[in-house]
Amino acid sequence: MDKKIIFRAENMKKYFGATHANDNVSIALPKGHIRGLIGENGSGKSTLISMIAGIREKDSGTMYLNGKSYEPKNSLDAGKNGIGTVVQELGLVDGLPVGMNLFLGRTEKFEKMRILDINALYKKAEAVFKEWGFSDISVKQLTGTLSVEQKKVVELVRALSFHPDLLILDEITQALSLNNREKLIGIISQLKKRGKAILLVTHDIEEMVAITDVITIMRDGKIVAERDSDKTTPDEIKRLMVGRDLNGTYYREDKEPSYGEEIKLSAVQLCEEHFHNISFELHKGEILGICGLSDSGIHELAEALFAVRKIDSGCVKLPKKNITINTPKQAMDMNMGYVPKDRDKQALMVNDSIENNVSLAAVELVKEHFGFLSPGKRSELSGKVIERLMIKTKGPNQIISGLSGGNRQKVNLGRWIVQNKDILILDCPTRGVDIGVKSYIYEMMIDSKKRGISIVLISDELPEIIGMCDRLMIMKDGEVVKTLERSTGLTEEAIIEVMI
Amino acid sequence: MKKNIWINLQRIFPFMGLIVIILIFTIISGDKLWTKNNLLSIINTAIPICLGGAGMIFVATQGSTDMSMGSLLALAGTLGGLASIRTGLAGFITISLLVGLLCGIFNGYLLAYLKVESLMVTLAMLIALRAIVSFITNGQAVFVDSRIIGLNRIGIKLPVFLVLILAMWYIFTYTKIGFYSRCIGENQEVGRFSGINIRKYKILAFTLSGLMAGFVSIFTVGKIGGVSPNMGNFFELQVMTAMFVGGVPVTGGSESKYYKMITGALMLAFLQNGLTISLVSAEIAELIQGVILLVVVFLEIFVRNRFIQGELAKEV
Repeated sequence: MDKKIIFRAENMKKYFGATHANDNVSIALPKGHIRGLIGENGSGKSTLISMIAGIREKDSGTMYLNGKSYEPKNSLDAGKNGIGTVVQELGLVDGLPVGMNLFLGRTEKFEKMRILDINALYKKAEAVFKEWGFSDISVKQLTGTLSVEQKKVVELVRALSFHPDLLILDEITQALSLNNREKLIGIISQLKKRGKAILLVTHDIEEMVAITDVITIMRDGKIVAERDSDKTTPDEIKRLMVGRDLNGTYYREDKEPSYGEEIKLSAVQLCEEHFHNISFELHKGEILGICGLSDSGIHELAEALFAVRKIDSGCVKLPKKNITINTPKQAMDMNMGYVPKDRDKQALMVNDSIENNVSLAAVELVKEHFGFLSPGKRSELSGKVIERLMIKTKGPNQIISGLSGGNRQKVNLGRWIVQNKDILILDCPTRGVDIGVKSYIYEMMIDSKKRGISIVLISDELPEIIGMCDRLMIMKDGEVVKTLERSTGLTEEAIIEVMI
Repeated sequence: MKKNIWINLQRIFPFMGLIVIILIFTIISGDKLWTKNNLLSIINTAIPICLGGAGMIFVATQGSTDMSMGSLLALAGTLGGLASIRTGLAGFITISLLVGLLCGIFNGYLLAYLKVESLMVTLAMLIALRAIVSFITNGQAVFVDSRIIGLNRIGIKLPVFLVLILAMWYIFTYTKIGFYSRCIGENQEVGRFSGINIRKYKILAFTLSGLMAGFVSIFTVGKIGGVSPNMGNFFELQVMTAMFVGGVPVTGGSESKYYKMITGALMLAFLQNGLTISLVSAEIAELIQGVILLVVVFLEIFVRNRFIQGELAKEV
């Protein structure tokens, strides 16, 4: 290879107990190169990245940076050596201003007589944000008041502020809106031109094929293949990731909308801070998609449908039962199920067992006389969830935090599916799960639809919305700007045009 | 396989502590520990702690704190005792329980609607209720209806105790109230998204805690044969000690188990009694109590951090 290698890792190994998270992984990144790293949840990508970024210690193996041996002591050390990383979990201190977070751990250069010159720091921080084209974030703002997307941007800028030779991005694009995504792609190609290397992890295969030069595929802690991006297809990548053939289209195959006459749920003039005058009707066996940019109010609308969020005016009605939904409990009693957007903060008790998490959504189902929550029924129901959704686990007593993201989401969704709820509200049900689980969730949705269950699918993944929905509502700035029917002519471009 | 050993070991850890304490005092005190009178005395110590714990565990499980239990039981006992002078035993029991219940509800309402930290609310109540007791009794002991002293017999106490403790065990372990309380302690936001009426269950927990304080006040007044303005001083701390030593997590959640509270209460009762019969002076006894509790807490946290936490979170 004529190009100079910037970073090389050889025979990296990492064990977690008996699990071989990384087994002899070797990777080399030349100058001016964008590398994609992809694999199912638990395939070892994040482990590899955390070792390169100095977050986790390797068990064995060697790393070289610019030809020299590289042994990061911590993530700050990695940054100083020229490796900037944005990790999957947010790594900012909420209680500090943005500028402080940017220079956390390296504020010495702003010190005079060991006293921090905060104004110099802010000035420098502002300059850094401006340099990368994100001047819309105030450096004096408290980090905790930022949205998730803005926090991601701060982390990105922090990684960039090291002027890294190697920039590592773990699942960042999912948290970004379309315009910031484009900005990021601009930054990446700019770095490429300057001869830097970029290592990119994302679940969005199409995006990865489009951006990267070479894609490395991991499975079960090993690198199974490397493919040139311009000579491969998303289908091939998927096959390599899963290790078996997946149907190219895991979405619905029919191209016509199909649903019953009966109206299961109707939203009437819903108004709240984040959305105004939302009205729609959900029919029996219908999948209704709601999409929009992250600040368009789609997630808040989902919360309002399940009455977790108080609305200012309007109502959510179940016409057949002639009931207005006012509390989440009422919604559950009326056979509604809800998969919220943030799985680990809103849906699941992560330090509790599968059984308790399943029971939480089905208390009335396992209740007998004298309020007795039958242990037999509870474990039977959890067993059903595990079996039906093929969750990889030791049993119902497994603690959620020991499950991979995909399996957690299966618990989250499965506890409603086994109860045969009438109406399901799914907010980004496939966020952060690999395609094996993704296709399984779609199968579940299609199966539910066939059984006459109505689904509201809120998502920012357009292929999913187009692939699954009978009708789709596009929201912008808290209002419904367009409602479209399922058809072959529906394209992402057409939707994006309306969304922005 | 190693991890299972540690997890199981942690589960039986409080039991082991209890057994060690019993063994030590059996040896030190000779046969004195196992005489009938001494066992009665241990039971007498354990009963109020268990009853208080049976109420407070709901609050602790939710991740809240109830500091007001000692003062509350003093107020319930005082008002009940005064009522007994005119209305006798029935009035005494009714008023005591009612005061406990109402103060518990009041605690819960303050907490749920003002959204103040439970520690602050109940700390304020601890001081305020004690002040009311001092005001009513004028700082003097008050004598009560003589039939109340008749309650202080093991033949009455033990059955009542067993019924109460079993009822609370059932509610805590097998009903929605207990289950939802554990969930609130795990993650309140998840609870809200799963249809739990958080306010309702917070108020319920404090109500149960207050009601149990009412029951404890009945036994306490019966035992001292009158109302003393100092009764129940530091009772809440004893109950909390019992819970935490038994292994109920301070932050609440699904690891809060009823048996842990009972084990902790027994440990405390045996420890206090053992030190007394071993003729350790009161000051030294308290010091030893403190040290032993520290050791227990340290060991528990050490074992948890060293061997268990990582194992639980491991991928399957």
